Amino acid sequence: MDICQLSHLTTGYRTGQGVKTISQGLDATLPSGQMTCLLGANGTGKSTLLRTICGFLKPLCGHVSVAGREVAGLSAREMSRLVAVVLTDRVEIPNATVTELVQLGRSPYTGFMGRLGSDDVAIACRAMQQAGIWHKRHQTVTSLSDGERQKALIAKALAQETPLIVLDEPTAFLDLPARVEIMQLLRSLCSDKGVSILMTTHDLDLALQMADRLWLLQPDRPLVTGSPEDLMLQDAFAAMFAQSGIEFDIRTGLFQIQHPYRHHIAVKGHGFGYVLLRRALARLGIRTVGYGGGQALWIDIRGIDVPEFAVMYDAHPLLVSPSVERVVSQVVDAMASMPMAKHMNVSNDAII
Amino acid sequence: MDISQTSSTPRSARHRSQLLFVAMAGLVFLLFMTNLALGSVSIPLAQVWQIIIRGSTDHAVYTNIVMQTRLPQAIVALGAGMALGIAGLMLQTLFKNPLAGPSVLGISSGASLGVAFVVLLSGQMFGLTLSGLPFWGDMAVIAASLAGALGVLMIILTISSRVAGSLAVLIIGVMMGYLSNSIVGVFKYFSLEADVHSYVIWGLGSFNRLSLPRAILFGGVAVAVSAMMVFLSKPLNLLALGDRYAQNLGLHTRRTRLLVILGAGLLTAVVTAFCGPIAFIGMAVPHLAKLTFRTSNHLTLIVAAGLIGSGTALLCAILSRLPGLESALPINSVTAFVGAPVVISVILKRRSV
Repeated sequence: MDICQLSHLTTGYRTGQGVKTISQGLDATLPSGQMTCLLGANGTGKSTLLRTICGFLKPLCGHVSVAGREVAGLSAREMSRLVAVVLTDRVEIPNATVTELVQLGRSPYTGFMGRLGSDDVAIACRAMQQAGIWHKRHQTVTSLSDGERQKALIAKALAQETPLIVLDEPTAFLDLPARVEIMQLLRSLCSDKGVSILMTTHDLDLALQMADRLWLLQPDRPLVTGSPEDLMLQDAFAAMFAQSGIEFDIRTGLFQIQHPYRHHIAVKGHGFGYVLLRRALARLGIRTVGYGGGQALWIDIRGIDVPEFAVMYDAHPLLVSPSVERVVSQVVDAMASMPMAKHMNVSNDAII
Repeated sequence: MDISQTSSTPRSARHRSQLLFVAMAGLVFLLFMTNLALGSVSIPLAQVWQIIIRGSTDHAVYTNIVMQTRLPQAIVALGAGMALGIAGLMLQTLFKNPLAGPSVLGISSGASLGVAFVVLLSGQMFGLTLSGLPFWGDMAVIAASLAGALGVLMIILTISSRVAGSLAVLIIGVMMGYLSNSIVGVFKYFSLEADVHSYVIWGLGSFNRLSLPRAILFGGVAVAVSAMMVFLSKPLNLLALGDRYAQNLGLHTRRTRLLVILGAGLLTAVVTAFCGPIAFIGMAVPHLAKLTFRTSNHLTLIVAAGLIGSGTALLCAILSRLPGLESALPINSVTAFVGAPVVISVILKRRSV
């Protein structure tokens, strides 16, 4: 079952001067109990789309429905039971503890004075445990680290008990371990608790590994949706990152920097040592090619468990070292002191 | 883990706030009584108590002093402090700005403008000094002040129902203040020296302009409107999260903003009409409330701000006529000396509040 549906949706703002359209003709579905990542470059309208789904902005055209109900026709009170949000807005409430923040998530269900029932208290406690912030429940929100604050806000969203949780860049401003932790938390909420999640992120690698589905938003194009693997097979990412210096490595399924190569060098060997050597050389614009026996300057990778690198000139080793750094500097020195055309076999196709 | 142990706050903290409330109420009562006892003539507390209970005592002079001046003043201070403390808290939460206070909406400036019309302009245009007349003068000042304050409040409400953010309202409020001050400046420039003097006196604020019946009326209105503000505690808790989070939790943010401005504006307008513009209490008291009660729950904070506001105003009233002084100091000079250190210390250790 789909928890959220977009049909022919046009997002944008109505301002005093007129209407500013951000994206148009968006069609997508969001299956229940899955984690969906909305990807797109800055300025493509991710946040605008997210705000339209949350009901903060009215659709300029087309429809958004959550749990089968048209968002545009719902009051704030009705929306509060359908969608919970985690935003990039800074939360700075003087004196508020994590518990008090999370309990605000029960507001849609409490009465006029906001008095919490025992159910509300128990639900807020469960939400804090699920979000892994239980141990900090008595601390003030302002004393938390960025990652902990995100967990507290996720707990607030869980306490809201909505069928859909929408997060706007929950991993922004976090260091790598905290990003992974937040993504794993969201992943487990989907897999174990059946929560449906829609989030925007700039962490492509994490999104590809963690998301059930991706929505790719690109300027002036329809929304491309599908599982990360299907989108990779369709080469949907190539268009997204065209002309941006990033290439999608179809062997690893990862993104890497597109280096401008000016030289190349033959390397004999394989394994982790080869991967690292290739990276170090790529930074300097030197591309590795297979050793065919014809090249004068080449690198031999020896060793079984611990690689050892030998810079060879014909059959003579110039340097044998376990350090990639020393090997690379030896290669650069050797290239500088040699006439290239003769030893390096440089041809036009080496320049990409 | 044990869920039953964890309610909104740890149990010890809730005990702490209950104790604090009792202590605060006791302190306010003590300050109220001290206000009646202290002054250029000291009256024994036993006599004061008698006057309050029975309406008179054997000492006719004591009865006169308490009933004619000190009791009205204490009642006015109690009501005005409560109203300003709560209004300041509401506006600081609405604008998410620790320096916000009742003055930011431009309401006291509007009141000043109204009073300037009566005090400064009437003398020029009609050749009579309205404020010089004993009863009608007072009434005219109060009515003009109320009209000016409510006029500005209406303008602010109209604007804030049209614009999206709270920041715009804040800026417009401050600008309204500048505009009325500049008009008042023109009035002053063309006015008689005596009228300017009485206008300046009005601007210094005072708790002792009202007779006992009117003080009771004012105190009743101020306390009643203040008490109604606890019904805004849930919306204020949500607004503190930020407008979008509040909306996502089901709050009609635009309507709530109007209600908060209306409530805080009415409180400010009433106080300004009867006491003149009282500075600093509305800005400093919310910080004291947050410092002592260490909670973000506005249900607690509103009651705390009301009690601490009353206490602060009563304290300022005592300080303004400390024994040894020939006549009472202007109340705004005292509130500034009490309030400014609080605000400065809060700004210096902002991170903890």
